[in-house]
Amino acid sequence: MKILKYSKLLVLVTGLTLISTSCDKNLLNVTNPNQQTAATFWKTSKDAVHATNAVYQTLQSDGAYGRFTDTYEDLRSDGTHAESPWTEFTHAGDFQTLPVSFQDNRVWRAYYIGVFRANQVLEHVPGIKMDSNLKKRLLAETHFLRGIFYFNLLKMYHNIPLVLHTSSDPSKFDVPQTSPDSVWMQIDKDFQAAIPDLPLKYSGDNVGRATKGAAEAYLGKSYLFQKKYQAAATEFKKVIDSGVYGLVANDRDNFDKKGENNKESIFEVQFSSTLGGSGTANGNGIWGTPQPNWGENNLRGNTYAPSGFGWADIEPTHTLENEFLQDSTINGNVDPRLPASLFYYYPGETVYGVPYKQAYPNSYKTAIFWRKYERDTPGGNESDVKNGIDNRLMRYADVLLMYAECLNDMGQTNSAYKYIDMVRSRANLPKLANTKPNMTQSQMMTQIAHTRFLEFCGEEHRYDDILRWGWLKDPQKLKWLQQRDPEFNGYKPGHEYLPIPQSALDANPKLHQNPGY
Amino acid sequence: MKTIIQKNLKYMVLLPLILWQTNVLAQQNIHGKVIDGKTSQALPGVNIVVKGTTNGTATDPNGNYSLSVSASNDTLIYSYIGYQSQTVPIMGRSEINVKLMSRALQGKQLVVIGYGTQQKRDLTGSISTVNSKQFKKNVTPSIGDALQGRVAGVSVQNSGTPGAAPYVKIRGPATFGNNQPLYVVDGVPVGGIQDFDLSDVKSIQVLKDASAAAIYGSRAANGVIIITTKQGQKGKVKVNYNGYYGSQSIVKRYDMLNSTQYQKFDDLILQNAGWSIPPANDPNSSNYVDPNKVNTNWQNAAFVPATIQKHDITISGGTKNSTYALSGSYFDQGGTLKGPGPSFNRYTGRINVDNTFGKFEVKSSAYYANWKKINLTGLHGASPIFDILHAIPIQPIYDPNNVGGYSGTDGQIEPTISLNVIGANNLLQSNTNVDRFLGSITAKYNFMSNLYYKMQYSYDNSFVKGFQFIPDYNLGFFYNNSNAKLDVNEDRYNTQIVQNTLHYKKNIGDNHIGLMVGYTQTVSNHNNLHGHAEGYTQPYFEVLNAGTQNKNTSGYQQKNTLRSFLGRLTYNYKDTYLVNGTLRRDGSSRFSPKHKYGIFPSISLGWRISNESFFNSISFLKKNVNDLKLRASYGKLGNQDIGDYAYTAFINNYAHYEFNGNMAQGDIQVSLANPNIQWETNISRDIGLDIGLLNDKVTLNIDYYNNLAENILVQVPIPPSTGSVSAPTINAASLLNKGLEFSADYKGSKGAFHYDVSGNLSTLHNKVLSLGQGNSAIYGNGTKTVVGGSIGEFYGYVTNGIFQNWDQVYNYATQNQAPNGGRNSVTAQTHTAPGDFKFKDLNGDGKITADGDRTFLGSPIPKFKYGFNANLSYKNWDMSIFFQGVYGNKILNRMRQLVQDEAGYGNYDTYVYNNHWTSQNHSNTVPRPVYGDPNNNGRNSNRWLEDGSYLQLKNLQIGYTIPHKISNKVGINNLRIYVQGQNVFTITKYSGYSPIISHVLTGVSRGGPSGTADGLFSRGVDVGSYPQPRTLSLGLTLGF
Repeated sequence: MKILKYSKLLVLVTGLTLISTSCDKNLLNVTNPNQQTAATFWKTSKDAVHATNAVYQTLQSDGAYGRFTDTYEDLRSDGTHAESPWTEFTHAGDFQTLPVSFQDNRVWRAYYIGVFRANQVLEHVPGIKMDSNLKKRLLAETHFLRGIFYFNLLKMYHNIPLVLHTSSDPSKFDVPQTSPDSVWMQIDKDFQAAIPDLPLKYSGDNVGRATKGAAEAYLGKSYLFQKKYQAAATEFKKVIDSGVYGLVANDRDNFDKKGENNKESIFEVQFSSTLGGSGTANGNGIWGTPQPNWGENNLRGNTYAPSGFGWADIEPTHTLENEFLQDSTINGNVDPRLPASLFYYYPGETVYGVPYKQAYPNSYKTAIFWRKYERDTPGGNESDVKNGIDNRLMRYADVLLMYAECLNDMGQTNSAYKYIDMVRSRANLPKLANTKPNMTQSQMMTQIAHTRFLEFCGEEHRYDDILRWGWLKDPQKLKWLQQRDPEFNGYKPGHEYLPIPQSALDANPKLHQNPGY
Repeated sequence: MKTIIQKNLKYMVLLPLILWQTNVLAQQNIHGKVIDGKTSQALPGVNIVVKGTTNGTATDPNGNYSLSVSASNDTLIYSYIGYQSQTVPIMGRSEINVKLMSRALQGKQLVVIGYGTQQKRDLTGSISTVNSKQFKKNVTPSIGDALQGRVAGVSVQNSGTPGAAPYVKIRGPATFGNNQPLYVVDGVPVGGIQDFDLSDVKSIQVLKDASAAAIYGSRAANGVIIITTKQGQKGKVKVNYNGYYGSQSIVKRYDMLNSTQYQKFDDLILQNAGWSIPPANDPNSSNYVDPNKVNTNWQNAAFVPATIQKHDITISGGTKNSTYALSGSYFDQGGTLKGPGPSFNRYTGRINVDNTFGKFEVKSSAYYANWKKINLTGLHGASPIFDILHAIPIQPIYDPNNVGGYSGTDGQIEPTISLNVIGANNLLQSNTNVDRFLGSITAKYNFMSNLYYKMQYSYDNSFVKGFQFIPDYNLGFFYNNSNAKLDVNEDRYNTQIVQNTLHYKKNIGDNHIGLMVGYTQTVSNHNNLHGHAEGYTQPYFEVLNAGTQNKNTSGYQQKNTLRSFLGRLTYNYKDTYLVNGTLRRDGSSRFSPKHKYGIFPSISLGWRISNESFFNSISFLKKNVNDLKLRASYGKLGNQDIGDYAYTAFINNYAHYEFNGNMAQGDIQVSLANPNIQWETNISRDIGLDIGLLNDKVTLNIDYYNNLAENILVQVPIPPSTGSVSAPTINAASLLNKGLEFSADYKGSKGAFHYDVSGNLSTLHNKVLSLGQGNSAIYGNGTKTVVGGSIGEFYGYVTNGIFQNWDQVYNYATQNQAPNGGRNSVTAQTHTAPGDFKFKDLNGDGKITADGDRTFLGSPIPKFKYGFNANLSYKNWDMSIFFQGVYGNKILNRMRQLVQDEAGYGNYDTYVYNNHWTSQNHSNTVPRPVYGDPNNNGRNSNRWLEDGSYLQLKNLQIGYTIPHKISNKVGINNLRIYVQGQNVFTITKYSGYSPIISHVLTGVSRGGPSGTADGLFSRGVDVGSYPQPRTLSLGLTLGF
């Protein structure tokens, strides 16, 4: 009898549960408790600022300056080579990148992710009711960033789709490639649109955002690539005359943590080993959805780090080391940029605090590695893949040398001395004005190239220079490069650009592979 | 005292008399004939025993028998396979003639269908009942796994990893998402079928077509598997124990190089690329590794035998108004890889209690499972099985000088990426622990004998805890960690379901009508919590509190709801014309308000031809065919398993950046979404024949199905230039799955020899009809899916022999030839050279390109698959044999690609070592070895495709039942011992560990093959699938 009552009670309870749940008219209306929908966003100035910050994040991603933009740009130069077991690095060095290469794919994806974010800001922020100056500045920053994204895509892939609007309509996904000339026009337009509304400087928590000088320098660089020397010179001169920038006394301050955002820095990608989640380098470089554990560090540190302290996938060439040793300072010493840039053997040299000979007992005489952007902390190493040193994309030294180059290209070789010597003097090298006065235009060009090679080694500039100077298409220059770095033996016409990633071709039938692949 | 003696005295006097009498009566002979109750045919081989003894005989070919019995008040038991047994008291007779009734004709065999039961002979849909006695003979923890090869149209992909959930598919894929069928346990739809124990199962029904499954509407697109657990039976307490203990081992090996061979080959590979030989291979170097001192056979070191055991006990019984069944089980499977994992153990407990109180019936059921799985730990995403092959023999296993104690390689000494899998498996800890409770209470109220109302409430709660601890270790180049870290993940899932149904039955003359209507609702919640900490120092305390750096937590919540209205009408006229119609209307929270509801109808018809007079007028048919039924069905199934909140675009809050050393919050939309997302549907058509021959001694089932899956949600790979990190999901694809299914069963006996032989065979023809916007192809791992083809066809280049000289290199279509006709050993280091593969220039454009020269190379879908089972018994001996196999599929052997690509970095097999191209050995099949493989000879091509057909002796069991006379003496009702072998042997041409491929990989390995094994679109790609072990075990069943 007791059991009977118990069972009836159970039936009653179940019945009540049924009735209470079935009366719920809103049963099927479940909203996501985790995330804001896009429809409720884009309402406040806070939304505008946060969205613009998200555009900046693209720069940290693995395909951008987290690692692979650096590696592709550097590996194809004569200052860097790869003996990595990761064949995609050796293929990059040999100009043999395959369309199915997955880090190449990451680079392509990274910048288009950035373009998507930038396009959202440019579409939605104008409609937000907010402080108009702030709004203008955010839009200008975004134009600047989109300019960089397309600039990098263009110089790496050459034939690219130009996407300037967002759309969730699948019939609009397949955008064809645009002529490189129209992409250059768009890049110039973005940088031009950025200049008027950007401030010369920021303070406090805004330091690191795009400045007027950054947009001018990048616009100048874009003109330089297009061989518009006068227009480029004008922009560089604005930066020089702005009075905001100068060279730091110690070259090393440009490559470590403490010298970040210094007066020589015009624009740099901000990295941190501590900010964000505990994850390594933006989720270890996956291009997926940002996750709470994404850190703001880079994988470049580990990838370039010396053997035993990192992966040493990317190593400097002895050509680079030897070229540093061609010159001595006015005191007869080694160019200080050599020990600042490379680990190489000399008495007293240490690597992460370990005496060089002890670290490489069998190969200390010949082993050289990158020091630039490495932490080199005694007792440490890069195996935590949490390098947080900023990447200086645009330094004042670069503006000076590009300006010198423009002057020389316009036939004003004598005026170029001043600017190239500013950079040489910081390295305590004798002034060319004194040692090599009255150079011809081509002699000056040789000096500029030599100076740029050393000053910016491992800073993703050398291959840009080789490309825009047309050296790969000049048989003599190509042969010279092959002597300096046998990886150039792998060069084939067309391979000055990376292949369009196979996944992009597969997804978009309107795309064509680059010639030569 | 006196009385006792007197009583005993009486027996002492009587005893000789009784003995004498028995002797006299033993002379008594019984004879007679046994015939079929319907056809009056004589039945040969019918077993006749005297109840409680082993005294017995069998009928002769004319159905006659004779038997000596000891007492005229004994009882005889007549039994015959396929017939109902009869118990007949002798009552002094000397002639006893018996009519046995065929079981099939009893009309009482009930089949559990959705929301009810149906007589088997009345089925009009395609429902397979799995013979539970047969599948229980598998040594496996998983119900899904035990279905492999048992049911026509059901395919099971399983891994040898202990505790891995198998992938079960019914009649081909109906969606690109979750292809698993819906499991319904005692009326409750459940997930995570690996939590349930096989020993609890009483019966399994597989609902394959829409007419059977549509009552589950939007959850049934992949078919439904209905599981009924054991209930108690009225009568005294019964105790049953079943247990086995065995050993498992991975038997097959790749033939890999030893240290001497490795060094020689490695030197050759490096020298061909212009590199010097590495210090480890250089006898003049101080870092030289002497092959006589270090020669690790990684496969033999890593694959070790392991134990497997299972014990379960069931106690059941009942009174007039109440029955109960209590059961418990323990399963433990050790890993066949050296180290703590992978391994799996599970405890389960179940209580089923039924009570009847007049018109009330209450069923309560509580189930609890706890399992722990030690996961297979890999590094950098590759399968450890893959890494075992890759590891070089000149690397020792142990190195006491390394942090962790295991050896690694040094990039300066040996250019390789060689993971010490034994080290990783021992050092890295990863496990999953699951606690699950499923409770259900069903109240049934019988208004009248033909009308009842039933309500079931169920609560299903799972707590899944994941634990991963990575200590400081040094496993050499690329594999080290100096920051010990802990990740703890906790997921809580709960689902509450209320199901109400009203059932009505009515017979009007020869018209039999059944009606069921119902309403159900389901609420599911999922809460996730994740904790992470780093900076652990020794001695390790593996809790979050003990971490010193980077501590953080994260979590999320998910909820979905489903509301359903359902109904079924069955109609049967004279047992000859059968109609079954169902309708379900589902509403789901997962769709936008515009698209929340979907309707899923079905209809099926049956015609029992064997009841027609014209049929019975043909004496041959009447004599031999006892049942012939034609059935046809049509219906629509749905799929709502599309993930929660998929129709909305969201703002991601983790797109942060840094300004001036501070974190700057970043929020933005990172993925495009599709607001118009709708139900996936599967239009199912089926025509079938059920045939019973010779009084159901032979039964045959034949089905033809033709299913059209439409509105399949697909993430069409969108151009990366959209910038969306994932493609929006759209209802765009459609697929056709059609095929034939046969199953046959033949049972009989000859004397004491009984046999039951069954087999099944099924085909699947899969065709992609649409892939959505632009129909752009879907690429998997070495596969491509296009409209007109089948899912996941292999795709790659076609080899065309090997370049034998420079002229051939330069006269052939361009692959990676050096410019300017460089014909020397220097260009050979980085470019195409003699010894490299020619790939076919399929589009004839003079160059070998990914666009123009890859083609379809075969399909991972078998032409047919089959299973064959025989149960044999002779007196106390029994034996069962179960074969299963597939025919006509291909496998992309990426494992062989790894050990034959001759590009450096790891170990190789002896085949390429012995047969590779050299200027002397002009091989036309194995290219030259060269570091970095500049011609990319290792690319995906027909070279790596192999025939995946196989025939496996999946199970062989031999048992012996101790005669009742003996076991009864120790109070045991039933005692059987058995030995069994599982995965005994496999006949195949496939060269890898096993042609049974499970997709285990979600990541990629650095230096390994790129791309990911992404399930459906990359089936049949062997990227290091954990091989199924061969298992030998000894078992015991015991009943009191």
